[in-house]
Amino acid sequence: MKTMKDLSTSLEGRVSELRELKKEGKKIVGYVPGGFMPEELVWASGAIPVGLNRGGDPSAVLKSAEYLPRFIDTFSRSQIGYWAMGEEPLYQMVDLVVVPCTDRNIGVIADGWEMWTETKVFKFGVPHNNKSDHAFKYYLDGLHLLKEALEKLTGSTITDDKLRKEIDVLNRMRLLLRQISEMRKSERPPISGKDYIKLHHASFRTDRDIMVTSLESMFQELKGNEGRKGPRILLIGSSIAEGDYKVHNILEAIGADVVIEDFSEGMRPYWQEVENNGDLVEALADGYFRKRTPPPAFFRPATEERVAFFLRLAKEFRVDGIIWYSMMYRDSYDIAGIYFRRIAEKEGLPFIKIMSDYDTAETGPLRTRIEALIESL
Amino acid sequence: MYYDELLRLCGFEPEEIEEERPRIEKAFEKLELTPEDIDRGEERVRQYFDIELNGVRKMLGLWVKCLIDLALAREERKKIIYSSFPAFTPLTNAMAMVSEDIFVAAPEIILVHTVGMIFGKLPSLLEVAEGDLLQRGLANCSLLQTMLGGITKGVIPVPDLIVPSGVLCDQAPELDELIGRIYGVPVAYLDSVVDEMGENWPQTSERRVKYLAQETNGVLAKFEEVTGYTVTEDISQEANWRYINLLLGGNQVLELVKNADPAPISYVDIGTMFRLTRFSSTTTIFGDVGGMIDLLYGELKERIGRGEGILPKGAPGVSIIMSPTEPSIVKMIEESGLVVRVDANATTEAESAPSKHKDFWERAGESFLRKGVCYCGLGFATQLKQICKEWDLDGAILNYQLSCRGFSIAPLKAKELITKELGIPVLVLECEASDIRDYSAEAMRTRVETFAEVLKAAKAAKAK
Amino acid sequence: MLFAGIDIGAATAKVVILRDGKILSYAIIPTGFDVINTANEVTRLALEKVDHSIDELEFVISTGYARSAVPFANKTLTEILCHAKGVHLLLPRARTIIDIGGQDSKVIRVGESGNVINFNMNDKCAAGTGRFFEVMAVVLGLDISEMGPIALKSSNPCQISSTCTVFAETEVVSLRAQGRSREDLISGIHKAAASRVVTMGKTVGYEKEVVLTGGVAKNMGVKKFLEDEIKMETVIPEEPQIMGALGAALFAQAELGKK
Repeated sequence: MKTMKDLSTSLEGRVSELRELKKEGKKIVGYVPGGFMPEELVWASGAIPVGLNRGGDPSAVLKSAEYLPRFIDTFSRSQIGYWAMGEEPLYQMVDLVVVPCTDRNIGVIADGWEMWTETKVFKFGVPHNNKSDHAFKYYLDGLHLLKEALEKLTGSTITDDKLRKEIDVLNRMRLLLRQISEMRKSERPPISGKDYIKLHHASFRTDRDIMVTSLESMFQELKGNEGRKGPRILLIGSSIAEGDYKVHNILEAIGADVVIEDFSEGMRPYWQEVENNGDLVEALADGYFRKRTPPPAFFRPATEERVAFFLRLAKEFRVDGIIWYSMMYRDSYDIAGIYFRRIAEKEGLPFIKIMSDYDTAETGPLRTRIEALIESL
Repeated sequence: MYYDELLRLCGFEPEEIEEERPRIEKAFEKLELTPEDIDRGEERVRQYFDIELNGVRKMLGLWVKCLIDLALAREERKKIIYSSFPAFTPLTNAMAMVSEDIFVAAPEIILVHTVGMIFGKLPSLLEVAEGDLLQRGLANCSLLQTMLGGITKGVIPVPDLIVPSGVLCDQAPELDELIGRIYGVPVAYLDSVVDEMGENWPQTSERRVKYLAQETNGVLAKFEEVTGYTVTEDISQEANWRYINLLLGGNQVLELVKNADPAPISYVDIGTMFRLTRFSSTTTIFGDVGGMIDLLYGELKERIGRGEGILPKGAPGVSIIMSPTEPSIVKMIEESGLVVRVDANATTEAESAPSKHKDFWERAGESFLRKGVCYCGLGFATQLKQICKEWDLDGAILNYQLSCRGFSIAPLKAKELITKELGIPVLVLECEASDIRDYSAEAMRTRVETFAEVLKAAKAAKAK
Repeated sequence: MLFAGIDIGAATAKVVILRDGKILSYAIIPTGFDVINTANEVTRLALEKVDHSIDELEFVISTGYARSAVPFANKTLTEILCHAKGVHLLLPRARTIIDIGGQDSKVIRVGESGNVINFNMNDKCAAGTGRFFEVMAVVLGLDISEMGPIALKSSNPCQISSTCTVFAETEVVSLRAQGRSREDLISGIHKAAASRVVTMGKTVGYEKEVVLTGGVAKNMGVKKFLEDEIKMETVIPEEPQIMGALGAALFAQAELGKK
């Protein structure tokens, strides 16, 4: 695919581009991408948001042992590992790190940056229940604090005009990601699971305008295209990091593929847009939190909604089986997975639960389990 | 009967045993406690606890009473409310205060202190929760696993309402939700957000305090719906007064032994007393421990007066983060020649600034959220350092609880802060407080003994 | 007067007999199932060489994981203290000791008088211990003594990431199935183990001179990769396995001075 190639070429040059921009005085804002931090605010402040979303590399996990206990969620540990290894340029060049504190494991990323680095950290607390007014207020207040912090960082004011423009661009991005995703409902999805998730990962690093242009041309390119026909998988879990494509690779090698996914970190929620009128910060809180699809946290007050969403995806994308893929020691997903397995079984949907520690030794057993699932379909 | 001697060791009066016999037998049968378990319990109580002191016996007895009440709650009470660790105690106390009909408990805390600490058979509950529920080796919380095991096995009742708090961790609310789903029990979730900056500790952000207070009101509304009882502010105030009195009593004991040299009592006993008053959150002892603390205080005062101690005078003093329920671990630390003086539950002077909040739940919430472990990694590390400073300790054992994210993030940073700023040695120790299948005292002994020698040498060098 | 230090480790039992502050004799034997028997046996062996017997020993200190099981010991001490003491006698400039034993590994920081300042020990895991190399040698069908020299032959060590011996074994098997050379594999094993140990000791810190002790110190492959990781040279005492026993014997001698 031409657009895909262009996009990856542009990504390769992104780091040196960012270096230049930094030299010119631009501020770089790193964040943990899980769809709780509105990038609109960052762009509107004149800073550049970059998602810190690397994963899949055992050496980062090992490196983190100098700073964190070994039984913290693997994705979270890796983030501190990448910073400590000093080899990932993005982790070294950020002027501020925004961590949406969604649970105690992701919170460790914020704690890790705070305890062990000189980089400024903004802990952006996200309540687990988006149904109450006081939770909405908490989130909204958090956005105002973030807005202040960004204005202080860049020395420029976030005006409504700037914000409105950014909301428009990101709405367009969300819409395109949804339209491309929905193309996979067809019997022969025109885009592979891996390419699709890579689009999300690219969107955390690329300039938003360039990303939207790429998505537009990709959408055109994909129209009328047909891909392979094979067993269809719903991949669901905690984090899908940039560089962690082993499940996709195993599936592709045996003619199956992911046709729809649902992850808390590593994906951009694309099922709803942000209203672009009235109080714009409130509109962001509404789109990113109150009306978020799916709602925050798998379990807790959101259980019913999460289950309904899960089943809806399975049905609409006509999936044959489910792979629950969560990081090792991400306790909440481990427990939620117990319940979702029961739901899936009740619905007659084959289900396997996999936990990854980004360990190369996992690949063998993982392949066997995934192949066994596909054979059973 | 075969269990009379154990109960006597646990401070039960003979008349009390006679009177309670039918309940005791029913509860023990339900809990599947066999004569061998009772024998083991007797042996462990003699081995690990200071049963020369009547106060310690009474304290153990209160744990046993909590267990009996818990096991029989379905037969004896109209409604059962569970609130797992770390319960927001002012809230659980207020719910317990409303009526005798309602039984409130942190069931896992009771189970680990009785089935585990006294009877030494916690694996029997832990194993039940493994298999198609929790997987071994994934760092699941042993407390929650114990509760799940207890319910699955049927030794403790299925509650009418679960009140999980998300302040310290995600596992509690998630597992409570799972239990709620499996058994059809309503869950009133007490949400919280952990987003403080360490440099601000112990100042707690106003919005965080308000959020917890608002969540508390939501839980109370659900409580009313399930039980038909209303928790008024008067009830909450009264409950809190009783609780504060308990805490003050405990603090007095801690204050008494703080500087006593030689150390008059093992931290096994002190820690167990603290956990009873702070964490059991149970109707049984709520607001009234029957004079146990006063008794213990008096006995200790006498002992100190006689100059008696468990270790030689001048033994180095250390803090620990949490005193494990399994008594052999603290015993091993003391056998190596170290006096455990305090744990991270102690309130530092730094935290005692008066509250600016007016609302009752906001005030209560603030002191809860101020605790380092509910605050953030750096805040907790700062609190740990503050404890070493205020208690003037010779060293610190930062024993982080395996599987507990909240407790485990700070120790490495705390080690750095304490060594740099206070210049005392620190041992970071991975530990499991109650599930000792992989973490026995023996597995930690080499580390602790070496550390003890390092401390003794450091202390001797300082004296010179 | 004779003093003995006896170090009962997971894999081997070591004894050092001291007279007038000098090593009179020592012995090393595998730790058998019966620890008491092993303790007796190894001590008898060392004493026989110099025509003495157990009842001539003035003071005995036992160390190592089975230190409490030595019936004739007057006192026990942990092997961490003993390693520091033993190394200090022979290499007084040592400030960091990396000890890799059969079942565990330790990084120890020592002061000018051989006192322990700080230390860390591996947790629950055999990766980075002698046991790890034993398992790997079996998987590859080699004698353990062949491992080190082969490890030095590769310029492209495999990446082995497992933090667990059991998984590392699986990993090695699958790498072998992928056709990686024996040299790369073995080299990778050494690199992984070294990296594990070094990471564990990071909170303790590495300061010159760094001394390697324990049975695994004899493995030149481990030495090389450890040096690569910490970017410092390391020194190996002549008989790295007996440092714990030597330290214990020195402590035993000091005990008498106390009286």
